[in-house]
Amino acid sequence: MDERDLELEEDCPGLRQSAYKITSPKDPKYNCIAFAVGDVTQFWDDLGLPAGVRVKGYYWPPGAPTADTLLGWVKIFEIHGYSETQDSTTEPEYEKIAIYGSDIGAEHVARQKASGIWVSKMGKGVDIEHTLSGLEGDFPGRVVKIMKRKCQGGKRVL
Amino acid sequence: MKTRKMPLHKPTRGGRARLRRRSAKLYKFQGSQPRRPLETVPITVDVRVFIADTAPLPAQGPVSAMADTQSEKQEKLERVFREHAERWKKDTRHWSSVTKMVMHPSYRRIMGMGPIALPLILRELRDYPDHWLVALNAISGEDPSSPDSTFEQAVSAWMEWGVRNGYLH
Repeated sequence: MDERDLELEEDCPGLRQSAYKITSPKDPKYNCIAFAVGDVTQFWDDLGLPAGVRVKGYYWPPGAPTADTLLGWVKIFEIHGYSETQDSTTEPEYEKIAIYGSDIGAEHVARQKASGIWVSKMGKGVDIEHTLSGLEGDFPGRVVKIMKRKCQGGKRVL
Repeated sequence: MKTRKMPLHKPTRGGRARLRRRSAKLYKFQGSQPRRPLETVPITVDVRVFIADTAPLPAQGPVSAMADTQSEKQEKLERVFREHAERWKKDTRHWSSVTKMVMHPSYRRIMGMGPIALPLILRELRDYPDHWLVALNAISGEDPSSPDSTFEQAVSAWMEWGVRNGYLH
């Protein structure tokens, strides 16, 4: 893997001043939400379409609010057993996710590893390891929600 | 005995003698004028040849000009598609939302090209898989993938559709 991704740094300027590590090649098959819940085979999005209308090739849990809203993203993680917290530190028995964006919408979500480092799938691009604040910037925004759940069977996602 | 009717007309004053005097006067006037040299006047003759439907078309002229125009149109179409596709890919390369990707002006411009863009989109999808499924769906009105297909499976289904419908070879 390359040590730096200049295109990524151009789009996410926070990474210019922060350490990060590329851990996968670029891949349009899955996005950050899918990666955060442990699915690297599907792209999770409802395309903003009304319930019952779909474009095949995308997945969005039935009944969840639209992917266009922060509420929709929060609901996805609630369905997977997460609840809101203010604490972003490492807790051995919990796995955590952090949603980036603004008060009106979500842009990105990262997942915390047991080591305390955060991992992200960057849109259609690469997977990276990074610090929580290192990714903050004009894009993908700031951390607006942190959620956690108990590690299931003592294991974390992926 | 038949009587011959004479034409009714108003008798001219002076009669034939007067006409002879006028002719002589005119002749004398023309003779006194200097003769002009002959002038060359360009004229355009519009000749139209009608060719029966069964006759072979001429090899040159209007047909080749039409072919050039078609070729130029295709080149322009591909150039515009390429510009918009590259801009869209660059701007959205780290976006997680397809909803936002398809609202990008370049993506919408490509969708607006309609069916003529289908072969270009399918080739682009084959060579550089990306989120063209919405555009293909919107333009063609079809969705050849199975209901629970992943992105990768949907791309394969569109490739088969493209070959089946003559857009890909």
